[in-house]
Amino acid sequence: MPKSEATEATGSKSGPDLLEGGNNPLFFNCHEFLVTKYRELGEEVVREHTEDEALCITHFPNIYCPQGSVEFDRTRIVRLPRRFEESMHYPSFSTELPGHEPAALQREDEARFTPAGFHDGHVFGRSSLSPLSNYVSPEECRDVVRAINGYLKEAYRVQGTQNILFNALDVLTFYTVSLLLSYFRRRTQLEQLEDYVEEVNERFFEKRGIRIISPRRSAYLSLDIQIPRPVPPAARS
Amino acid sequence: MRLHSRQASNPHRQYSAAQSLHSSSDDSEHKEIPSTMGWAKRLMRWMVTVDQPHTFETSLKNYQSLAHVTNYIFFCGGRLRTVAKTKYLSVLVLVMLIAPIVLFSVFETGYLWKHVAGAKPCVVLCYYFWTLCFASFISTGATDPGTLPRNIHLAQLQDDYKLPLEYYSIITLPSPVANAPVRLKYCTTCRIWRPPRASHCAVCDSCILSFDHHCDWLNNCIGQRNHRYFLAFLFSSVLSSIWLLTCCALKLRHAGSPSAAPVSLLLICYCAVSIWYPLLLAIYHLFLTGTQQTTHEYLKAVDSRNPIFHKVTHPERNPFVTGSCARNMLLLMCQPRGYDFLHTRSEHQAGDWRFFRLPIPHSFEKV
Repeated sequence: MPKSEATEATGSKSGPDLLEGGNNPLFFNCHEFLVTKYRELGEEVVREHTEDEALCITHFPNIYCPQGSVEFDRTRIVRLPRRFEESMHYPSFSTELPGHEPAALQREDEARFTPAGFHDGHVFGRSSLSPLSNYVSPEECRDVVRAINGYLKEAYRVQGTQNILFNALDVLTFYTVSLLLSYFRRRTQLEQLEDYVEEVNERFFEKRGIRIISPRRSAYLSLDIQIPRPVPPAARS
Repeated sequence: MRLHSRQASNPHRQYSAAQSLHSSSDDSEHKEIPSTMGWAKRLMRWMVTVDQPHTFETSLKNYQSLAHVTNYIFFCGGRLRTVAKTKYLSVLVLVMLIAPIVLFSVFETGYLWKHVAGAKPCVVLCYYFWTLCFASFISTGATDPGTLPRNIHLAQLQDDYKLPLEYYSIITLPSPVANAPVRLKYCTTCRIWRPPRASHCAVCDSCILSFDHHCDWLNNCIGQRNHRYFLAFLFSSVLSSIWLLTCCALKLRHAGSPSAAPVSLLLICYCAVSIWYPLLLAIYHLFLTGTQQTTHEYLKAVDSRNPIFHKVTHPERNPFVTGSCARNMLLLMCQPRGYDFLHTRSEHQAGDWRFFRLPIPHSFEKV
């Protein structure tokens, strides 16, 4: 079943290329995937489920800690994917909280992450709503990611006269200008972005037990947020 | 049941770079070496870092681990690099760059400077462009083209890090240009969702940001972080050839007969031949950047390995394209270099996922 959430949401049946139907593709979180063979909550055996009952995998191993470390076992990563509607020429991340994207798998009357089964040793729900929604509101997520995108846009902007002049000067001086500037320049946009992420973590997120992973560490491939390992309802009570 | 049995049999599968790659061949050789190894060996290791395990190192520098998971060879503590298991044509190019300027300096410069009226600016320009060409050559061939870290988008641990089926299909997402959606692919080797334009280079064995092509002559990929150096290299090599040719022509005219200035004649012939390849490539890159495509995208579009004999056309459904040719050109030529994601000289802790080579996924069990 090589299917994407987008195909499901727009109702076209064949393939990932949605152009054939004449409609434009919808945005979704490409990190999510569905699992039909899993152990349901309260059951003992792993068995095959129907596609309607499939688990939606919304959080992933914390690859920012070594495997086998305590933190690796106790934390998970929720990924906010890259988004391209605004521009192709600089990185920007999806401002939607996972589960609120246009083509996300949604279930009615579900505001919080609701575990349904076990996969890979962790609990997952049946919709795109990730456990991150237990810690962050959609508005808050939007504000933080917008600010991050602002820094990235500024840092990767091509058409500024400053960038163009700097490039020309750099080439004409055998690249010594960029070498010298790297010693004398005040903090660049990308360094300010790291500062901002650190500040958000310190002021808001760490109290709730979550943390934005430095976007530089993930090579701006996705905005990764570390959350505590979600626990099944039985273990919680 | 399956989960339980797997966890019992394989509780902490540690893929340390040294063990997973070379346990069989090199372990015995290095086991006895104490942590304080001789300074000569340490210096050698610093000078040239090739793909071999560092089981005795206490601190792990990024370049040492990167040499394991990619085909890069590092020099001078990660400051310079090239790619292993190739024909090393960059050495040939280096010789071809240095030989004419040495001949010119020995036989021509002094004569032109003292005896030929009006040759001084030509000599200065010749040296200027040659220096630019040389600096661009080193910057293109020996620095980071935009290598992306591995395993950032690891999906799951079970069944030997099995990839879900969704990760094998190309996904289509909306873009700013109508009817030109973004197509994203998951790199099954690097285990990341590649950003648009990034591609896996089989020669370097790593994903490169804004991959243009792997240049055999420079023995490095051309990507986001060295694209401008590459273009500068092409243009400056053309310009330095022109000025070298001019200088030698002036000398030849002043000397009177070819037999009085054989080196000038040799250099004129050399320049007349060697100017063509960079010139053709430079023109070709002007057309490509003008239509906002990379060499990789273009070659895929025309379905050929040889770019020269095809007409450059506007690609269909290109989400990168803008209205004007100049802006297209600017967006590719002046793209910011961005951050060096695998800064070679930084350190990392043991067990860093970015430096593991996970098993190649065996897919489609279900299908």
